[in-house]
Amino acid sequence: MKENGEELAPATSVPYMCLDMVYEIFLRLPAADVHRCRFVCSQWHALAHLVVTHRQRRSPMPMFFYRRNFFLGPLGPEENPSIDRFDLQAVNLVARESRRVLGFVDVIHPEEVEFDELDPYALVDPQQVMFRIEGSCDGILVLSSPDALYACNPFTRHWALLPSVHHGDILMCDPPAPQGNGILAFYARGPPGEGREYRLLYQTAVGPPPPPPPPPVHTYWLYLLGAGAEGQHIGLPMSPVMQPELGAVLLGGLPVAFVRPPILFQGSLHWPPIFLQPIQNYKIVVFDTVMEEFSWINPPSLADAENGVILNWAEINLFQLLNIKGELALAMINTDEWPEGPDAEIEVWLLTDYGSETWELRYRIGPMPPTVINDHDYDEVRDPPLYLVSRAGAGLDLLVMCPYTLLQYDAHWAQRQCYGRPNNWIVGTGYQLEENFVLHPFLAGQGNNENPPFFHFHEP
Amino acid sequence: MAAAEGSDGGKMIVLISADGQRFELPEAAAKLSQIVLYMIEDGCCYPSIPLPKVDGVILAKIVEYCNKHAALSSGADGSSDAASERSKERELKIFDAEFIDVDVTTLFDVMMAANYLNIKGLLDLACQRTADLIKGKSPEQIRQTFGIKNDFTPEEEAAIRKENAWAFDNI
Repeated sequence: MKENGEELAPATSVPYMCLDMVYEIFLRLPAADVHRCRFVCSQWHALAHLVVTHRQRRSPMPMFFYRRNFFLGPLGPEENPSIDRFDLQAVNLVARESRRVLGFVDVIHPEEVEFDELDPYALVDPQQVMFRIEGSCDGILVLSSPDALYACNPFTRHWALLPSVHHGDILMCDPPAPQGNGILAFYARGPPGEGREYRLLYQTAVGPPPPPPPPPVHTYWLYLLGAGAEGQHIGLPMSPVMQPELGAVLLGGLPVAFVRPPILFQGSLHWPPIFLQPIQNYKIVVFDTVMEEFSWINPPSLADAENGVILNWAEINLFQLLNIKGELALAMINTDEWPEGPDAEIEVWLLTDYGSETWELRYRIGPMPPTVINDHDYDEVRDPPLYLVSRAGAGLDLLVMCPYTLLQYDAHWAQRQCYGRPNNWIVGTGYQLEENFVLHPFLAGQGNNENPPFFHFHEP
Repeated sequence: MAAAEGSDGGKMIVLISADGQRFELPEAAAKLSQIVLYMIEDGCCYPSIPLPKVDGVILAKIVEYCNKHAALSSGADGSSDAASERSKERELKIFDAEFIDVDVTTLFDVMMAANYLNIKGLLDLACQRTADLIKGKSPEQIRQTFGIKNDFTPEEEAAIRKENAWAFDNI
């Protein structure tokens, strides 16, 4: 640090800033800045430590990609037309800004492809990237490429190449299958601090590969990060109170994390409602990370839904689970009406009593304003068309993915921010990132002096 | 609840600063402060509300902020015209940016007052502005900006720096 040597004149008037205020300010700073603030003085040191270790007031940051390629806009002098650049961004919903998390380059385009022939959806399709995000937990991202599995903390820049779990069979495959081999969840088990474990839940398809018939049957595994390369086979563990139909569902396979990431709620993973062929009904599949067994719970029943606009499950397109102030919530959109129909509502149901599976319609968000559709080329073919996010202490926000912009609205459709970068596409992810500075042995090992393929940052 | 809520030319509230200055402002503007709102609801706002922790110079700024925000948000539910909504939003944004572009001492005073009076929007604005002043700066630059004394011993400083070299990567 160049300022180190010189003694600077102390400021004449020392403005009084109470620690409460400093705390509020730290909550609005990117993690690296908070961390740097630790070196300002001893009071700030203690407080910054508190902020980075007790993150409960800081909302997790939804992530999206900027994708730059030669189909969009003129190339700069340094740019190579055969290369796509991806920047993974994390949105601070309170400060309303996005910052770079990871950066990488990918895809050699066949030169003969013309813009007209290109499927624009493919360019904003989160599956069409070199690294797939397999999970996000406590500031750690698990990434898979076709030939390797990585874990990294973008804030501390610690990372590790993970051993080839299950002989590499669970890595990103092309095209990614909604079922089949794959990682289902990345989660933490145990209280924060020493002894907290990070695990991958994955499934493998045994039996003939697709295309069916017959469909492959699946079995389930756990892998503990930092524990060699062998997964622990758990088979088809089911809660004893469950109906046998759950077994048929598990044999059929669950959606891989990349397609539908589950959320961790009260120590259990919950998948957004899935239509289960064997029982011809929707269920929220649950994996208890302590007992390590599967079960399911019911989403709101149609009888509950009588108060809502949505009466028929088949009309519903968006199933998103989220945690709203400590309650499990399910967001649904009426597909037929979305985005412009008179009944184009988003309904948000809260599971008010987990034991009795009682759901309550808590929020209704009205139709998307026409300005979104007209001014931002809103494209309804995206799945999901938007994400609901819970902003710390302030209710719900909406993130709407448009081809070139990501729009942040409050629940009354007042625009809070518009994120975008010239000549870049927006590619959504279903993940959120929490800032975290805890150093883990499995990330602190080899390789941290080398440059991994995902810290390749470019100036836009 | 106060009877004259929302009506034009409604009640006026008088605030008295620590140094005895009087500020008269519409009730809708005064209610942006949660503290004042509670006092109004409790009926203890007459003939005036003394604010012994805020001096006149800063209270003048606070009143300016509340007046502007109350005036521009009053028509919000009446007119549903999206274009005029957006222009109002833009006007507020510009106002906020100019309003908070002040020296550090004033900024802190405004922040402390906004905290004490519990004016959420203004507190957000002042905290965000301070955060922006911190962003990207080295610890020494931060100390200089805010006049904070470095109370670490050289040994302590060397030790924490060594552990966390990455935090200085991008400065």
